[in-house]
Formats: sequence, C-alpha cells, structure tokens
Amino acid sequence: MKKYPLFNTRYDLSNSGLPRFIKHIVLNRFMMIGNIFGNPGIRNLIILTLLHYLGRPIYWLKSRWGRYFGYMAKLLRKLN
Amino acid sequence: MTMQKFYTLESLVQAGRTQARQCETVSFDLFDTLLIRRIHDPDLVKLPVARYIADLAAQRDIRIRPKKVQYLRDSIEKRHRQKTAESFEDHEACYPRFMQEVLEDIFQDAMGDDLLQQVTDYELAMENRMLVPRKQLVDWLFELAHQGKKILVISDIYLPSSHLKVLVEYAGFLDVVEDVVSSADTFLAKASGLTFKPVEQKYGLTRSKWLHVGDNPISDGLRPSEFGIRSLVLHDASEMQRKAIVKRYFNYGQGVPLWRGRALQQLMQPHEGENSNQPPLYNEGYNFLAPMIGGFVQHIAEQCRKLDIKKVFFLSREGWTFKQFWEKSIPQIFPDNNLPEIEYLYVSRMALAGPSCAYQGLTPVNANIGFLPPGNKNFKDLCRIFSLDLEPLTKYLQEYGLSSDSCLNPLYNDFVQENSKRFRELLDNTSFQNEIKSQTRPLNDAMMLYFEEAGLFKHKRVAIVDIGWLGTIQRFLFESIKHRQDTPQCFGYLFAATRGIPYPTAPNNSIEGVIYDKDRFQFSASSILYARDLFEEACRAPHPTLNGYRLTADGYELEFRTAKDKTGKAEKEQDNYYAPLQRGILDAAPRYGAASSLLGFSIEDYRPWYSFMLVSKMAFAKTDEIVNIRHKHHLDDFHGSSKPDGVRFKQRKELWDLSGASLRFSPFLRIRLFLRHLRERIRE
Repeated sequence: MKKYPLFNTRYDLSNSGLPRFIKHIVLNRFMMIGNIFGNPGIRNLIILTLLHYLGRPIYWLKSRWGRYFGYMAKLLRKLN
Repeated sequence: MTMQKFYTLESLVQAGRTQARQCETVSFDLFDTLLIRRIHDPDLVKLPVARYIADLAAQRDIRIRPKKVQYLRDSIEKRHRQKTAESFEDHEACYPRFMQEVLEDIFQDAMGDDLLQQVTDYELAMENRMLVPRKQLVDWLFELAHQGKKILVISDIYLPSSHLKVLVEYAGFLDVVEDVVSSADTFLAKASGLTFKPVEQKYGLTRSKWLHVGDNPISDGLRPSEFGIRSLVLHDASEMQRKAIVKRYFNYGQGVPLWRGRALQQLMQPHEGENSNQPPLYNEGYNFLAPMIGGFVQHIAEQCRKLDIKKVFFLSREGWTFKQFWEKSIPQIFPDNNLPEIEYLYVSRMALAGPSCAYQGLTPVNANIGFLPPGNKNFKDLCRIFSLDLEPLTKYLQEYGLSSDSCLNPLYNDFVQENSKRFRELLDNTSFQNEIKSQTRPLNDAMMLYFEEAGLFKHKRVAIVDIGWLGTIQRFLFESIKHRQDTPQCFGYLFAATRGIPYPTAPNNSIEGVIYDKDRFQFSASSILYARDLFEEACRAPHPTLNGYRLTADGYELEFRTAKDKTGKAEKEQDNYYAPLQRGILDAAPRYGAASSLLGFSIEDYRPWYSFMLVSKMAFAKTDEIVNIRHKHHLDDFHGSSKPDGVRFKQRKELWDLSGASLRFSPFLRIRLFLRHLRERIRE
C-alpha cells in the first residue's frame, strides 16, 4: 500500500479534504444526507478554497511584494 | 552589517550555512523560527489556562468564570508592562510575577504554596503541546553545534529563561544550546536592540563573528544589524498560508458548529518532522476514527464529573483502545485531577451469559438474544452460549415434547411455531430453571470474585464503557450482580447503541449511545451501521476473547479462548492487519487532548462534523477506502455455525461487502444503497 502524509502540502486533510466536504454539502442540497446542523456558509467555503488551493501563490506574492499592492493587501486583510 | 531576507526555509538554511563558516556564534529566535505553533494566535494558549485556574478556584469554593480570569491576567500583565516601561525602553513583563499577582487576586487566603508552580506547569505543558520544532532549522542547529559553534536562543517573551528551557528541552535541542536568553529576565529586548550588548559581554562574543537568525524584520533583522551582527530573517510564505487557514477554521468554528470538528482536526494535524508518510490505515485511524473516539471518551469524562461517577470500567475487548485513548487525552482536557478511576474489565457476552442465569434463571428475553444471530438454531446453541450442560436438561425438554435439535429460530425452514410455544412454557418450569441456576452458580461465584477484586462494588456509581450495540454485555453483567445489596448504579456508555432488543432501563441501570443512539434520531450518525464490525475490529485488544470465569482452589481464574486454532490464527492475522490503524488512533490521542482543551468544545460541538465524517466515510466511502479498511476476519463465538435457509432470512450484500469491481463500476451504487438505508431508518 502506498504511504502518504496525513496533512498534504495544501494544509488539508489528505484523505478527507475540502473538495470532498464541498461535494457532500452540494449533495445535501439535493438529497437529505442527515442532520449536519446548519450551513457551512458559501463565503467561508470560497475563502477556504482560495486559501487551500491559491494560498501558495497569494502568500508568495504577499511575502515579497505585498506592501506595493494596496488592493492586494486589502483582499488579504479580508482573507485573514 | 546588513540583514538578509529569505522567503523559504531552504534558502535561509543554505545561506546560513555559508555565513556560519565565518562565525563562531549563531543565535536563534525561538518562537516562529525554531518552534512554530499549531495555532495561529499564541494568546489562545492562555484560554485553557484560564479554564484551569477557574476549575482550581471552584475546588476551593471560589466561583470565577474563565473569561474573568483571562481579563484579570490581561489587565495585570498590561499594568506590569506599563510599570516596566517607566524604567526600561522595552515594555516587558515577567510571567511568574504577574501570574503570582493574578492568583493572589483570585485565591487570596486559599492560595497554597505550590499553586503558582501548578499553573506554570500546566501553561508550559499546553505550550509544549502546541509547539512543533522546525525540522530543517533544528537539523541545521545540530549541524552547527557539531561544528563547535556556540549556539544561543534569544527570545522576546514574558516567560523567563528557566521556563523557556522547559520548552526547548521538550523540543529536544537544549543539550546543544549554550544558553537560553529571555527578555523577561532583564527587561532588555531584541525589539529595542538592548539585549545584544549584555549577551555579548556575558558570553564573550565577537560581533563580527556572530550570526542571528529570526523571523521579525525589526527585532531579528534591523536591530542586530545596527549592533553589528549579521542577521538572516525568515519571511515564510508557507507559514503565513498555514496560519491563515487554521485561523479561518478556528474563527468559523466560533460561529458555525459544523466547523468546530474541522477546527479540531486542523489543530490535531502533525507538522514538520511529525508529518511523515504513513500507510492508508494509519491515516484512517488518525483522521477518521480518532476524533470520534476522542469525542466519545471526552463525553464519558464530562458525564462522570457531572454525575459524580467515581470509577469507569472499560469492557474488553474494545475498551482496551478506549482506555488507552482516555489515558493519553483526558488528563489534558481536565487537568484539575477531578477524574474517576479507570479499569479494564475482562468480560464478554459468552463469559457473562452463564453467570446472568445464576439467580434469575434463563429469561425469555435472554433466550431471544441467543437466537438473534442467524447461526443459532436450537437449544444446543443456547447451551453453548449460556454455558449449560445439556444432559441434565434433556429430560425437561422431552417433557415438553422438544429435543435439543428442535429448531427454535424462525429463520430456518424446519421451524414450527408450536416448538417456540412449548419452549416458552418450558421456561416457566421451576425445576428446569432451578437446574439452570445450579449449573451456572459456580460461574457467577467466580465472576463475583473477579469483580470484587476489580472494585466494582466499592463505588455507588460506576460507568461501563463498551463499543455497542444492544448493550448485551451490560445487560448480562447487571443481571449477574443485581441480587447484591451493594450493586452500584450502572451508567452504560456505548459508542453506538442500535437497541435491536429494548434495553431494560431503570434508575440504577441505563445505557446511552454516544456517537449514535437509535432512541435519538441521528440519521447521518446511523451510517455507522454500514460497517459495525469495522469499529469493533479497529478498537479490539490484541488478546483473545474471554470464554468464562472458573473457580479454583485459590479463588478464580479467567479462561481465554485459544489463539492456536484456525479462528484464533485468523484473528491474529486481522490484528496484525489493523495494527497501523490502531497506531494511528493512539498517536492521535494526545493531539486530540491538546486540541480539544485549547478549543474548549465538547462532543455536542463536534457532532455535526462527526455526522459529515460518518456519511462521507461509511455511506459514500471511496472504493480504495473500503478495500483497504474493511476487515478480513471477524470472530464472534456468540454466533452458531448453522446456516439459515428459511424464507424470512435475506442475505443482503451491503456496500462494505461488495467487490472492488462492483464498487467501482456499479452506477449510482452508493446513492441507491443510501436511499435504502434512509428508508429502513425511517421505518424503524
């Protein structure tokens, strides 16, 4: 059996990551999958998707030239 | 000297190696450089400390909320910093001084001599659990030490160097460090640059041969450069990303319950050197089973504190894992020591079935339980389960027109309703019941000796912990002991309660399904029914099942099933296969304890996430997951060897029984089976 780390390079759970969660949330819209108690929030899901999947380039830019891009700093402040 | 900025750890270490060749001394910043925190905000570690202080105060009849403790700490620390600023350039504070004042303020006359030490120990332990050494930097630090360089750790923090040394020792590199310097000792910090001069004088350093490494561009970059020290500053983009993610999960969890369990998992994750490649079973144990087992044992601990239960018995064999998980996690969540004693109790359905008949005889309900597994067909099977000698009972069977082979289970073709009616009448026969009682009495006596030794009768209230499902073990256990005057009140906690046969709940005997209970409608949690055996096998102790209790000349003896026959070997093979899964569960236990104590949540907060995990991993499991996780062998001596052939018996294949090809290619398989599961639960 192939070995892999618990935590992947996107800082997500390697065997139950965000895409799987989103898939079930979408499924829950069409079919009752049970009492998951509330909505995770579309905004929360978008931000987490951005951070997990685009976080690396965003923070790569921020760490180097973040101070030069006012609009980018504004966006990152929202993310943080 | 100028400072150099690096955006990755690799580039910093590479440049550091070159620079260090010309240096005799290398100093490191501690936090966010040599050690990183699992949580984004270091102040969050103070919250469990505030809860701990509030618990200690409650033990001394002082009522104070954790929020008030936190407020007091913040305000006193702030005052100390303001006072320091009157004489020094840096606004520093010293932990023992302000914490002493906080504790005196709260406890006043009730403050003992060791209270500050107690609180300090807990705070440092919490810090240790949240800190992770950065592997590459620590490896480089060891390399430098072996080259004979002088290594110093310099930190701007409220903890004095004696406390920091505890953290450095836990991280594993105190031996190679010359000294640990803290701004809390001298109130001279890196932020103003004033700390470097005393360090230079104390350790006889040469500025031009001194390299400093840190993460703060001012304290670790500009100030050392102004002083004439080479400095390397790490501005790590990946760390910024990691912290932003954990911050989101933490903050969302404060508002939306669904995210609380996910925040818990994010905090439990290994980092740096801890995050090594592991087999898939280990990962499933760590990420799927461990958080749920953690919630289960935490709930039991909370109930014990609430109901004043003084002893918890973890029933064999699944209790073995639960007990170990408890030992590794629960003391972290409840550090005030107000926890019950714990004990592993050797029991099994087979071992307790016989003793349960010693005073009440064989009841119709217990006989029905015996015929629940489809493999049990006739009275011979009942004799096997309840440890009865068939020969003396044959005459009673004949009296009622039955034989030991008469089919009593409706799942078979040769079942006749009349046999069942006669058997019921037989159970009302006093002589028959007296014979059963006399046969099982020695088993009960032996069991009683063992239970007395285990301390079952020493407490008024005890918790009994098992995996599930009908609560048969607790039912038999209570029926075996209920005739005694000193029978304790038994609170049963099952991982999942399916309640196929209603449990005889009474004020002194109850069960509760913690993760799933049929009596509460938890549809998503009912996904656990997809593969019950998985949970049993995953938690099972690596010893054979108990066959029974036997009286000996010295007292009693526990009789275990042999591990040498075919079934025993198959079980051993299964244990070996699941070893990484169990390792994953137990490795996650201390991290569950640390994460849960930091978050301050309980099972009700995590339940929505457990619901998602159960649906996702049980009902909509990926093919590879099913193929990897499902058990190969499952031993159950309670089940007989007959094969049902009646029309009422439907052998259905469940999702977790299907072949890899069916799982991969059958269209809408999971949705079809899930709808069937939904229909069945609603009908229930």
